Amino acid sequence: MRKYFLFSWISFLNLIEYRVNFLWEIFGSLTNMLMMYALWVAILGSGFINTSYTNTSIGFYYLFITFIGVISNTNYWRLTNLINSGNLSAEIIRPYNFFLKELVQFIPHKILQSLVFSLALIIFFSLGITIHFGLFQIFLFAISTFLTILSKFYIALSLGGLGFWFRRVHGFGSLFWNLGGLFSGELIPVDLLPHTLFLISAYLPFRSLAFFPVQIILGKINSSEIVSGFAVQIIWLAVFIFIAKLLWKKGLSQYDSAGH
Amino acid sequence: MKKYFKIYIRVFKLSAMSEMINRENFWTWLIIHSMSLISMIIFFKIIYGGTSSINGWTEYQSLLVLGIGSLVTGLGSLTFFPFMYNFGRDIDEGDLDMRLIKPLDILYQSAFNFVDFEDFVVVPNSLLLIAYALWKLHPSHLLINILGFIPIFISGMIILFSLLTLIQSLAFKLIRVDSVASFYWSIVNISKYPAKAIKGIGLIGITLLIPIAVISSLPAEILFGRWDWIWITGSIISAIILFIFSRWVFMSSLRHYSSASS
Repeated sequence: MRKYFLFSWISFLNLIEYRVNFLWEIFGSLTNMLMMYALWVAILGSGFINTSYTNTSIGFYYLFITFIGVISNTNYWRLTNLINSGNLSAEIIRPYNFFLKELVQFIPHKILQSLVFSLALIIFFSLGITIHFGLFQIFLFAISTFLTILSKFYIALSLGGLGFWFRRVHGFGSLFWNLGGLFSGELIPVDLLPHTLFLISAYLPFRSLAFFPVQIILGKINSSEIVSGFAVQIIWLAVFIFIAKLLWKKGLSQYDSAGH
Repeated sequence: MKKYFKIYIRVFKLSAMSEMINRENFWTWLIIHSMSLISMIIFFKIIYGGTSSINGWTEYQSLLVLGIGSLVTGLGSLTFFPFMYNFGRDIDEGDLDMRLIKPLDILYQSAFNFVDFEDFVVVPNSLLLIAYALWKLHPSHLLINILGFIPIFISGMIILFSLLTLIQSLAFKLIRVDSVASFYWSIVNISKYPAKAIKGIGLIGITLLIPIAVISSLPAEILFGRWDWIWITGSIISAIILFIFSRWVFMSSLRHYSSASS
């Protein structure tokens, strides 16, 4: 276990060394969030009908949806680069679990991102923009966020693993996430989608990857919806694990690389 | 000037040829960009299904902003957006040496070193959306509006370029600035919303902190016939000042560069 802790520690030191880079990343997400919030305040102020959202709840909605998006974001290009450069060979022959190493390397990043967003939450509260949520809600939100992080990690493994067959895979990644943008609630709250799109979203994984955790923390769903939501999240996670393992098994069986 | 144009054409052709080696990637991007634009159109359709206007901005005026914001993305990718990707790495690995010894402007070489051909389809898609929105808005004096639109649109692009130049100048000091790309894309994506429809604190924030957010709202206004002379003058003056200033900062920062290769 110690070696995984060391991977995590090295990743943390790297993050601290290039801290301005980290700040750019956070600043970009916060800028987007503030723009969406300001736009929605303008929309609600223009007499937008058919919504239960208020200026405060939409502000928190975009804060949490941005938080989920940022904290669960996993870079799959790095995996493709490892495959294409041949450097993957050195990784898979070493005495550690490559997947686990990749996962623990993200932990410091996620912790720092959580701290920054906690700060944003404190700023919201200090400005008098408040929302009530209990400890149990926070606990459920944390579990749901953790399941989202795991799901997106295995999605990233699958997308990165396409590098066994294709040289450039970011197109596939963008296709997947662009489709997801509309159904995950990142662009518009899913409950505001037209009925047909809302029904379609129920059969896709995206809703459970962002909208569901946010609904928990905003207290917009009842206990039976929470239970079914978690069941859906776990089923999708199992699907993503299966696909990632299958792709990497197939990919590695035909993989060869010329060393340096 | 002619020399630089010829070089750009050559880079454009080489990038197109390179892209066509991975055709599946190009076709995938064609679908992605079309879907992405459709998602945004659905977003505005839903919004305007619940309200007739956002602070005076109607559905088709907002779609016009979306079209112009997408055009900015498409033309930016075909020109200077690649500046945001590998510049830090080039400094880190000392690859800038090769550029410095060439008899060409270093800022030009850094910004226009390849064409992101994957985003090519964004241009026709956005032009189609602009034409559709204009058809629905049927503004009077369209020809005059278009003549006014072109310099303001170019001013917006110059502001974007200058901002990117300023940000990338930091790479000489900080080396790793990869996340600039995600920050910059956030700014570019914001331009797809009608920023001028946001009143109060939102607008002040955007005007002071992110002037780039209006690069699409202002040209859109001109195109549908609302000429806001204060904003127009401000846009042109900002573009000139920012361009001169950012170039000066870049050239000054270049003095911090010391080759890291070999």
